[in-house]
Amino acid sequence: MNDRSDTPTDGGDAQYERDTSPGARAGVDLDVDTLQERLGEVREQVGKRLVGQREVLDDLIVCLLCDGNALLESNPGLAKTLTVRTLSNVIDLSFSRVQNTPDLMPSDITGTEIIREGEGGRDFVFEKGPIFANIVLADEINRATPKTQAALLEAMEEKQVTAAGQTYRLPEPFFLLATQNPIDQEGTYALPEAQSDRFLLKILVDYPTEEEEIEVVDRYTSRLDRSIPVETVLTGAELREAQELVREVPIAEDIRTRAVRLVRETRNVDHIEYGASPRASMALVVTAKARALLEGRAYVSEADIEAMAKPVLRHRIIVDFRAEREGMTPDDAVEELL
Amino acid sequence: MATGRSASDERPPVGEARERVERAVRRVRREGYKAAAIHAVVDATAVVLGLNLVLTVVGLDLPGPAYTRQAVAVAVGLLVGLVEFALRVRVPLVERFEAVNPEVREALRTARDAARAGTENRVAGRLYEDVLAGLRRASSADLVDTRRVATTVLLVVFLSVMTVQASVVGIDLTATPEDPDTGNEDGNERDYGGLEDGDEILGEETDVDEGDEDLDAVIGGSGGGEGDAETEDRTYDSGGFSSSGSYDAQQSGFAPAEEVENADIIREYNVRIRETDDTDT
Repeated sequence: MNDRSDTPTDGGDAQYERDTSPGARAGVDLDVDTLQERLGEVREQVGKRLVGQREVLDDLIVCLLCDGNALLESNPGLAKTLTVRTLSNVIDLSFSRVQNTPDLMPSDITGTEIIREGEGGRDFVFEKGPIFANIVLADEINRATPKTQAALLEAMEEKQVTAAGQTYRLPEPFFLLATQNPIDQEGTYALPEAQSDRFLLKILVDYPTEEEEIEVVDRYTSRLDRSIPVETVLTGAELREAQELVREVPIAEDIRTRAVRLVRETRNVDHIEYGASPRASMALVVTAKARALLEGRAYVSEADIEAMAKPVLRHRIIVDFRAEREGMTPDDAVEELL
Repeated sequence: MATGRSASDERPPVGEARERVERAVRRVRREGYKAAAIHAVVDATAVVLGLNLVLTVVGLDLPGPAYTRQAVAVAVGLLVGLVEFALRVRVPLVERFEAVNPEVREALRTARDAARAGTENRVAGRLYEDVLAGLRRASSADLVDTRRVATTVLLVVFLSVMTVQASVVGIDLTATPEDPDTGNEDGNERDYGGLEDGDEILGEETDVDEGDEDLDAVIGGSGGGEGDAETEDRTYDSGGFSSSGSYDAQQSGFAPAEEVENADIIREYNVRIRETDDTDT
């Protein structure tokens, strides 16, 4: 059920206060040019395995740069796991995967206390769950029970888990990338609105074009070993530094005002039943900053706001049932506001 | 995987870059003032020349000294120039510059806000450098609407030529068509005040009865040689015609265009007088 790799091996609790990798411990002073070069290399390395899906990849990198969590929605077989796993390889982060099912318990994710026999007798030792990784892919999160979902969402919000009365901090950086299937809704537990609001972005993964699909077939049917090698081009510590740089990206006052007004407008229009919260305003501005850096700029453009509006808002608004009956989707509603 | 320390080490401190951006923004604003002044001056000149030409051609009599027309034209032109300048600089000049240089628009706008807020961090430093580099490539030439200014300059040249022409030829749209009574070919006032009006001389036309008083008149003279005009004149002057008064010879005149009837009457009178003289002699 759980697939863990590269999880920290050093025991105890304190080690999870910070990522203990050499790169993370080293003092890093990343400048903007270097970061942008590295981000270009990240795209290039991931592109060795991933065909197309440029927007999905960019949104995922934006999410990493913003220290946020993403909800990926797609049909099965669209390389979500491959993408996330490759990102963790390229950025030198530990990766774990949780396949959610209705019988999954919170302790299966967070970890549990077990009795371990030692020289001093029997002790309760906390056995860490798969949540203790830098990047956690929670597959089909809507198949988990609300209780398990809540455990996951607490982890991604608080960056810590509590077990047997003890609090354990999760490694930094920590990203939870959850997936859900838009079809086959039987036996699922839809995420409550309050909890889906905690995802920074909702990323839609669409089918590749014909050319891209042919390229996928050629790339993965011509060799037995499906693991195409990629290089690590960014350390966890550099990623943390990059997250600091993202917050420093200047934004013009009128562009910032436009972003805030766009979010506020979702609360006023008739065809949206529930609008987005101020958290969405913050998310829109910070993701626009990250996108600006990713695009090689040192300032936020209006194009950044427009590009990030849908991933930021689509899971934070509920379209009025009349508009929904006429076929309007949250993306259409955001597009109309833009 | 080296940690990044490269370009930023060679760059000037962020604070210095921020000050340079602020200076650059002030320069951009000055360029905006210059562009507004160019438009205002050219348009004001066109208005001065145009108004002066109109006042000259219309021949409007303004009270005051001879240069009143020119003074009015200059005053109106000055007013137009000032108003246009004020309107043009009312629109934020840096934003106008950004509008004509879209490649630096968003970066400059962001850098202005960041510099005004005193932002001095690594990304802002990079932004300031990018903006300064972009401004070196940008141009304020497009702040001036070249086509419009060129058209106005052509209009100014045309109006100048027309003004000179009007001054030399003396075009006056208020004057009536050329009239012998009011002017000569040179357009000057006539100074002739002699015999012109037949009615004034002869009075109203009336029918008169044939006179019945016969008078004997003796007119002395001596014959002269044929063709000897000088002798004839001398004989006449010293001869039998005498008069108590003296008369100055004057050539009668009339206005053939307006007083054709009077001219005919005068001519008829002259013919009759000569016939009477011939008969008497």
